[in-house]
Amino acid sequence: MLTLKLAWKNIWRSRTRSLVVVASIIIGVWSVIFLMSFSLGMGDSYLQSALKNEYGHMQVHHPNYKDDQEAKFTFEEGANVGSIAGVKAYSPRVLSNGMLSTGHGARGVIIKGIDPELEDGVSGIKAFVKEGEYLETGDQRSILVSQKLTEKFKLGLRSKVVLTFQDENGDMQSSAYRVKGIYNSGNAMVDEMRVFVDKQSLAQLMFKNDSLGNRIHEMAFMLTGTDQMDTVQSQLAALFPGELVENYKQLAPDLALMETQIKTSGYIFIFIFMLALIFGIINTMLMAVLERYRELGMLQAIGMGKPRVFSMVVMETFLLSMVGVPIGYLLGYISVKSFGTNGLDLTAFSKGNEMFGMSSTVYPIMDINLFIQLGVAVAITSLVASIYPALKAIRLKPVEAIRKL
Amino acid sequence: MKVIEVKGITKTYNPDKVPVEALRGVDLTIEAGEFTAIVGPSGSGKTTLLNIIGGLDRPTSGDIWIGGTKLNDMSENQLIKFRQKEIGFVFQSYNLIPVLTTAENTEFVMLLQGRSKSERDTRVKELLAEVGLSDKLDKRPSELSGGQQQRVAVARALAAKPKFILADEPTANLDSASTSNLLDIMEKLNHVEHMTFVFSTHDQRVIDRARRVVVLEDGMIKSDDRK
Amino acid sequence: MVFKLAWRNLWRNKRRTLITISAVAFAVLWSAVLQSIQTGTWDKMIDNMSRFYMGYAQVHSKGYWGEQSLDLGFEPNEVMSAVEGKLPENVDMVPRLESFALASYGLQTQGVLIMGIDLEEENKLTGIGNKITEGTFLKVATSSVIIGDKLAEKLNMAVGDTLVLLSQGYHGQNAVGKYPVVGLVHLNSPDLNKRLVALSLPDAQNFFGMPDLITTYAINLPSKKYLPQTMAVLKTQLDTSLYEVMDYNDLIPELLEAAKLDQASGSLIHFILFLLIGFGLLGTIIMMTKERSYEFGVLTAIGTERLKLAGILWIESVLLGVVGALAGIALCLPIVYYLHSSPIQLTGNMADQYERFGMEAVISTAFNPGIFINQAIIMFVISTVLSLYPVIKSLTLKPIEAMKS
Repeated sequence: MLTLKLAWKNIWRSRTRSLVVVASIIIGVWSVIFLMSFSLGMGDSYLQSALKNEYGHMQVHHPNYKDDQEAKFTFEEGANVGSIAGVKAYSPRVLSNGMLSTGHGARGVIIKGIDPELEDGVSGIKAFVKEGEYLETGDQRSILVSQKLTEKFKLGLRSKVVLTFQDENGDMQSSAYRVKGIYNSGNAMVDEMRVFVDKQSLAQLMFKNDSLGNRIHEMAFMLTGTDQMDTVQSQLAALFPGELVENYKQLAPDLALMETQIKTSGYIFIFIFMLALIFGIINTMLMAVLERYRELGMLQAIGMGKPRVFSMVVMETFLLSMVGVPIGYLLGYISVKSFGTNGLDLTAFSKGNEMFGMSSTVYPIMDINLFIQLGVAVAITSLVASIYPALKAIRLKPVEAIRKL
Repeated sequence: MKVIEVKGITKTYNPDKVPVEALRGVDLTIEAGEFTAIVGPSGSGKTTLLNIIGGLDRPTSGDIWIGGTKLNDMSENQLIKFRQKEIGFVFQSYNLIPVLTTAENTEFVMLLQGRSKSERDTRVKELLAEVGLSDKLDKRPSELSGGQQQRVAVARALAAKPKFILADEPTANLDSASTSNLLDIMEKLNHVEHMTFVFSTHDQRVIDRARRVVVLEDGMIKSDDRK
Repeated sequence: MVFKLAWRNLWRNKRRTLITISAVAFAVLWSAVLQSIQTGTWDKMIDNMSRFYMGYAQVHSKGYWGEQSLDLGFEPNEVMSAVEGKLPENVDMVPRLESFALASYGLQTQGVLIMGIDLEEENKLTGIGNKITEGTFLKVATSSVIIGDKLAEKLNMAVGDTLVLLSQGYHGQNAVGKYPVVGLVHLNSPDLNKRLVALSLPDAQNFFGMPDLITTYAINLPSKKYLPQTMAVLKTQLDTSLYEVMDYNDLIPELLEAAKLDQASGSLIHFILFLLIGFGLLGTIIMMTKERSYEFGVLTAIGTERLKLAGILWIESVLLGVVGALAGIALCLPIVYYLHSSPIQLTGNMADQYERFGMEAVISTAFNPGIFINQAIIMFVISTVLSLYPVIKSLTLKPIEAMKS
């Protein structure tokens, strides 16, 4: 206790110098919180967009479909999948790599045959419809295209387009559709490559022998939370025996990698910033020790043991460093919160963002773990920084120290 | 010829809160070639008077002339230039720039004055020979004894070719041998080159050698004796 | 003298100066290496798109770039004769006929990019002939194709197999054809490897039913510095009511914007890093100033002009910063140079993640002296700003007070 009190008082003996160190720690903590919250937010926005638009949390396919995207690799749309606990929404899809032809040229697209209502539950596509209307079940010759495509091909509502694709026998099928709705999901890379039609209208052409039409290529699921992913996956595997059930980490390992990579880059940030701080702390404490040579010698002369002197210097360094942490927390919290409701507007870079499937507004995500990690990091940094000055302090010989000056 | 002339000098510190009258009306004239010690116990106003004479501090009232130039109205920057050209300083200790050698320290003021390289070189050699340090040209202050350091300080003070040298307790940290050696050098300079010296001191060894002793007490001149 | 004094003062406290200089060197090292990698990655991606694929500029019929319609094909001869002999030396016009098609092999189909190319000219721009991984390069008008290696993988094709192409030709006519694959090609762009089908220009013109027409002139410049001159010639010689002349800024604005955004967020991190290092530097500078108060008093007393004293202190601060920066640059040069000359090839999920964003899965650096010079300038500016502390102190210094402490 005495050591602690002495340490605290010693810190404030050289006010300016201590404040410089405290300020640098405040800024370090603050900026890591701010930067990390935004990169978590950015990564999450990308992940959510990729989940909604591409993968969902989980997908079921015919085991061969992944390698050979042939029309014949289908499976039966099972009943009751919606009642599995943890499943928020599901969407059965008939898929085809086809060509979109218009009066102004042609382009390769992925044709997604969907159950409009169920699909909306997974991808929320209905809300992205900017012009016209969303599809309805039974829409025979209606198609939903992206704004991006309408711009390229000068399409408008009710414009005629032709879809060409291969049916399950390998024959080319062509069918005319009219644009019913135009959407923009904000992910230009994906939007440009896909169109939506009613599942039934596509299935009729694709599986001519099978008029019942409950064969599908893909079933995508959104879950209520990622923590139930494993149990849902095993239930689905039981429900679709022989089919391939994969979660998004298996579907897109690189996407999962991105999550961990953002975390890793967070650790690297912290490490680099701490390394930047440690120099300042060592220098300051070294000075604090050297200019108190006489005093430290005196303390040892009157019987303060080396362990005590050592721990006093360590304590001083620790206190000096930790003073800034709560203030950095507070500033970080306030600055992240202030962007929390409106987000950080990156509209100036919107084209670049959309190209890579990220939204133009980034909402930061505050992670309590980050605060803890930072606090621990500063504590470790201060302890490491204190070793050298503390060793200096106990290595001096009392008599020499007193004689000095 | 009057080198220093002060008239009716007073100096009050802290005029607003607790006024301390360090000097209460001092008149003093120092002629060229004098070897004067200003003595007095601490708190007598000795250091204040020396600071004012050296152009380091300003009097609350009263006038001061150095070599006929009135210092009262000079700006801070003019005072710096004036000190550089007209006054040589020797302080108690830590006079020298620690990272410069003996020669470089001696040369420093001449550099400030913008003297030519050849002039600087010859004068540095002359001066250091005069103070007996010709063999220490390339030593740093930390490699010299206290007495040697003070001799370098004297050489540096002389280098400026000042009107007089102001020495504030120059022997305070020296042993007897060094003190008498330093005083010998200063006396010699006084005799041979007619350099005017003003000391502040309470060192009896200095007082004994001074030819004029001004005693200060409670901010006033108590006695002024020429030997 | 002033410099000598400042330099020696720096080494009065060797340990402290070394710690400070290492801190600066570390920051410079880190930020220069990261910046070189970042710039290198983007330069490479932009180069892959512009220099090695699209060319730094392109000429099309007016409106083609927005619509990409074959109906906007044009007679190459008109353009050629208008600009012939007026372009800078070594600038080539590379004709192309580009459109989309549906490619199928067996029961698999895939949307692809059809590129009809002039074999010789194209080779000069993209070096496509040297990037054949299997089989051979094209020959003129032999009704054969080469395809991207990833596309071949996807369609399960090998050299010798026959690809069926289906598209919409000139003015809406049907375009269908069978083409043997004579070679597989691997370009730098992952996206092209998945989608490219190249055939000789006459073959493509036949396929789309538009003999003698092309959609694009890609301009092959020996170096970017010819761009302004070339653009000027093209814009004055061609009738701009019939033709559009676009440089790579117009062709790939999203990419340039994304690069800018990424670089902006990178700069933010470097800014904070330098801020932290700046605090360390400030701490050292404050200590250097405070402990020499007496000395400054003596210097002023014996007549050192304030500006001269301020100058010494400024040089001391700047030396701390700039020497550190130079040390950092010296350390990073070999690292940057090494990565520049032998880039690291990524594999596995890491590589997939790069390719998801259309980047070549390679870590390499830009060896750009500007980056290093910038670092030195930044440290010069920071240390100059920080030197305001001792400079202001020295300008307001009262010798008596300074010597009292």
